[in-house]
This record gives sequence, C-alpha cells and structure tokens, in this order.
Amino acid sequence: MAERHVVRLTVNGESVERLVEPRKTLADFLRQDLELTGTHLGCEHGVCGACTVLLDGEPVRSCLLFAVQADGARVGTVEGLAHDGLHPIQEAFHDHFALQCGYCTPGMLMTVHDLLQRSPSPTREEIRKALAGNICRCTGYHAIVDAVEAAAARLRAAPPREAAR
Amino acid sequence: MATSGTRPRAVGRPVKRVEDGRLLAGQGRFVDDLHLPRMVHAAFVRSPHAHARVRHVSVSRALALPGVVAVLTADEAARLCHPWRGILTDYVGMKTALQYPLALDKVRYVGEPVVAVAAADRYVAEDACDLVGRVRDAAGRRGSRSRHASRDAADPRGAG
Repeated sequence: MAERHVVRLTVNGESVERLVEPRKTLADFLRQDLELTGTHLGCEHGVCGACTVLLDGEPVRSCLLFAVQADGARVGTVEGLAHDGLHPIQEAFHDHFALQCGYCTPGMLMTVHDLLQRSPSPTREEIRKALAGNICRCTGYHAIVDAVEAAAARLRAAPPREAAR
Repeated sequence: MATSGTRPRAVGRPVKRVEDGRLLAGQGRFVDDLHLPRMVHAAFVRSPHAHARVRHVSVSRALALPGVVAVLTADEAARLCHPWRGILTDYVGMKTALQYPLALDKVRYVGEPVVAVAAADRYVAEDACDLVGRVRDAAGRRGSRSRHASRDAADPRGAG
C-alpha cells in the first residue's frame, strides 16, 4: 500500500483532516472517508457530471481529482447547499419535477449553483449549455431547464444566505 | 377509489413527489451508498478487443495480493450457471451465441468481462485486475485476412 498523506481541507464550511492514499479520488474521499454520499459516481471518467462539487467555488469533477489535490481547498457538496431546509434551487427542482431517480441531481444542483452565481438571468439556451456536462438518464432535461429558470427568478427576488462554497 | 361525492385529488394534476426532499439534499440511499457486514468490492478484467480468443488466463499473482478475497475465472463461472442466448422477439430467429457470465474461450465485444475479482476495496480489486496474467493469443477474423486482422499479443483489459 502506498504511503498516506495528510490532507486538510474545508468541506461545507467544516475543517477536516485525514490521512489518505495519494491515489484516492476526491469523490471516494468525500463518499468513503467523510461519508458524504450525496456526491455520486456515474461514469468515473469525467463525462457524466454526477460527481460535480465546488472546489474553491469552481465546479469540478471530483472523480478526476485526487483528494491530495484538494489539500488546503474549500470544497462544497450537495449536503452543504442548503442552510436550512432546501435551497431555492432545490425547491425549484422539486416544484418543476426536475428529477426522477435522483442520481444525477446532486451534480446538476452544483452545476446550476455555479451557473446562477455567475449569470443570474440565463436564457434557456445558456442553461442548456451550462448543463451540457451533466447527463440525466431519466431524460428530464425540459423539466430541469424549467426548474433552473424558476430558481434564477427566485434567487433574483430573494438571495439566500449561502452555505456551501 | 374515490367514494361517492368526493373527487379524487390526484387525478388530472401534477402530484408533488414525496421522495424529492432526501434526493435533493444528497440524502438518498443508492446501492453504492450501502455498507453491509463482510461486504467486498468487485472489479473486472475486460476485453479491449471486439473479437479475440482468450488463452492462458493466470490468476495466481492476483490471488496473492493482500486484500483479495476471490478471483473468478470464466471456467469457474460457467460451472455455476447455465449459458443463455439473447433474442429479440421482433426479429424472429435472430439470436446471440451462447453467453456466459465471463467470456469463455472467446471475447465478442469490447468491454466483455473476462475475469472478476473481489477484494477489500475497489482500489485493491483494480490492482488485482492488473495482476491477472496476459492473454498471449488474441485471434482475429477467419480466412485469408486473419494474419492481418489478428492482434498483437495482448492483455484482455487494455494496454495491449
């Protein structure tokens, strides 16, 4: 077994320190070492977007990063999205039936969170482009785009206190 | 059924899903989230070829790796269940060759599993797959072109 390294990072606002093998992916670190199983693994090679998390505020594929690469970083996962109850993006997904099995949903939510931070009033075309890297096998894309439009409107009207980042 | 005099509330309108809260909060429970007593993790040695003969699979080094619980070869798997054929009722008479859980003698598509490994965790299982012995004889198409079509000595999982 390879030598383990200490990693210190902030996950959903909480400081964590663990010993990990250098080859352990950030996704497996979150799911196994921290038991944050909301981050899902679909393709395990950066195509499906299910494992999307925020690294220092940027959306990244946690299956393509090693945990040791996140040393010193701020990581945001779906578990940290809402401060209290559901985040407006999560509420909009619920209201617009934007999920079926729910497997791709955490990655969708993190991607949408990033989109709406950068672009508070995206067009439907821009929403589709932003979500192009998140695959939904239940094929609920229309409902997801509807939800993102609704979430954008809600966030413009009443921005929440931010939790995850 | 609605009783007389009342109207069913769920008919003709969208009904909010009761499972959404946990799925949206990252609190869903999928198979990959389960931890069961004595659970181990599987990984597969897969074919990099669309069509090749499998010979000389050697698993002793994989089995010797600490953390490896079992290595299942195609011969062993074939003894555990009957082979089957895939059919499509829309195409009468169309059927696949006999299929086995792990490719027996011949692989017929890229990614076909050849050897299965169970180990303490997925990383060790993948390590063990790397230790499964090389398949020396990857054959190509029959006939005069076979020499050109045959692959170089290769591994069932890639690299080759």
